[in-house]
Amino acid sequence: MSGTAVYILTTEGPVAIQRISEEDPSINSVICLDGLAQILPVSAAYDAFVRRPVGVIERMTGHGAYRMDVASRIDEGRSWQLAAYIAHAARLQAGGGDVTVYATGEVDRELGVRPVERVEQKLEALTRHLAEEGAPSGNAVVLVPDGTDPLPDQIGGIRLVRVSQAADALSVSGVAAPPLPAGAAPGKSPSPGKRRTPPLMVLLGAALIAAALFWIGGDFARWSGLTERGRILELEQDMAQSDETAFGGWRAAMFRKWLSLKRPENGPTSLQGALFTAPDAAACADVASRERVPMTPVYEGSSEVCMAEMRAIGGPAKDVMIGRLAYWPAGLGSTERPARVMRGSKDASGRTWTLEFDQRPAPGAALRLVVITGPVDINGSQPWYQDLLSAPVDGAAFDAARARLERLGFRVTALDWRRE
Amino acid sequence: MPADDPVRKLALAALDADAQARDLMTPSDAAARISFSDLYRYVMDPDFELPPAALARLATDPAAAADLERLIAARSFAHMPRQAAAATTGHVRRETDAAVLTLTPSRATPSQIYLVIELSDPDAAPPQQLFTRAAGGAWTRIQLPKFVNARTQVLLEAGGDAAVALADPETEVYLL
Repeated sequence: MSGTAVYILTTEGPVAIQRISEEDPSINSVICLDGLAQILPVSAAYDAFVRRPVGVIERMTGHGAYRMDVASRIDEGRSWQLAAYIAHAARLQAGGGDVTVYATGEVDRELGVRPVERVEQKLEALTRHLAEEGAPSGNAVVLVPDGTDPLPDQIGGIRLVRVSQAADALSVSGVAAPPLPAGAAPGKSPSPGKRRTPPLMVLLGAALIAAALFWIGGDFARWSGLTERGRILELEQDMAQSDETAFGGWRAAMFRKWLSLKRPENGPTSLQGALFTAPDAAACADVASRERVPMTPVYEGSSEVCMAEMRAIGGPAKDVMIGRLAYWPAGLGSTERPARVMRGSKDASGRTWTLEFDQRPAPGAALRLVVITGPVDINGSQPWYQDLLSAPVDGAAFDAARARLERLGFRVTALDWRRE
Repeated sequence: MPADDPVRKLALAALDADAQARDLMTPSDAAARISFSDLYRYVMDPDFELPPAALARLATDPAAAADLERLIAARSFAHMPRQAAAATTGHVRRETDAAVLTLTPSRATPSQIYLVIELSDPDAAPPQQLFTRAAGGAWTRIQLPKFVNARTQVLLEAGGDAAVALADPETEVYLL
């Protein structure tokens, strides 16, 4: 991690951040203990600190999942955030000075450093640590949030600095400042130095281009990441949030256009179904005695329907086919939830849903199969299924749910069956 | 039924007494059976550990294994049966109506692997434990951390019993 050693100040003594590594974007960021397969409970807070739209680290680095190893346990709370931010920034810069940073503080969305509790105890623990272990070689600095109660100017011979912005903390630590995220407070300039002032128009133009590239690139990278991870609801919510501003709405419209280009032209080549019937309920138990009949939209026979099988076949090989089969014993959408919902299983030709009826279909019972075809599997919450599985196919609710998914790059196909 | 319910304790004690009586009537060189109350506690209490010898015995004691499976199956949140084929990329994915389970190798530490479980119903009472039964009959158990937004994540040693079992398509998985 360059030449910068970063420690989190705790009331038990400073805790070294040993390593920060990128992880697969599909997993949540974690804080682990000393290289072990032991995820600390504070990891959920770390993931929120990293991942956009709330987290600040992904805005800084463009990557949304990390593993941070620490030398000792750190408890709940957010005072580790300033040290973690500095460690992430230090990781971005090649080389760097031989600096040891001891830090405590919370970092907000605007990269301000907020006060935390028990700073005095943490500094006492640091004093004891330095007395036992000795001061680090090279430069060192202790960072605490501005606004903390009166404190000494140095701890064990190490300069103590109060900071109100993360940029100040980086500057004092000798770590290069990463690009400021959109909407962040600019903070103080770390080292003005000597610079030539270019003509105003050139500067303004360059700033506008840089801002536009940053705004477009940052959002697109985040949305692409969400798409790749199948976090489609989060993608939809994030773009909706972006729609609230003129520039954001323009970026979201561009990304939706891009998604529409990725949307499959067609769903599965065919949807087929079969019913497995028997003369009476007792005969259903004997699998060998069941008769397989092709599924038509309405079943008018008098046999017991023991099992249903529905298959979605074909479709472009590059696309992913997923879906749900819902069983409504009293008719489509007749209750708050279907009695059964099946995810189906992938096979060589497409996907198959098999439903062995515990509650056999009586007259009026219905099945609704919804197949979603798109560039990725969808992970996480999928609220659109509520309408897709219960509303009439020609109704407004179904249309709205289908349009919602089509805007996100997916195609929806449905198949209904009912018993007369 | 609360954990300290006296009727439940009495029932478990009776089952143990019956098992001990049966043990006394079997030849002395036969291995002692794992008591039903121990199996019950193993399933119901995440903090209760079976001794390693008892765990090993589970793989060779069909009656105890059947008892354990019945206890787990009766309470399981989701059952993921054997799969048809193995994954080829190191990423393993299993899914049921109730949950999706994935194994993703760690980029940071290749000797470790992430187990991620996502629930279909965010309002469902989440499972607390995961049990695996390998094709050879060996059982493993993982305590699951708290679910956040219907998702939880565990880091496993890739060469450990649990990760090896989860990566094997022949293994059955229960969420409890």
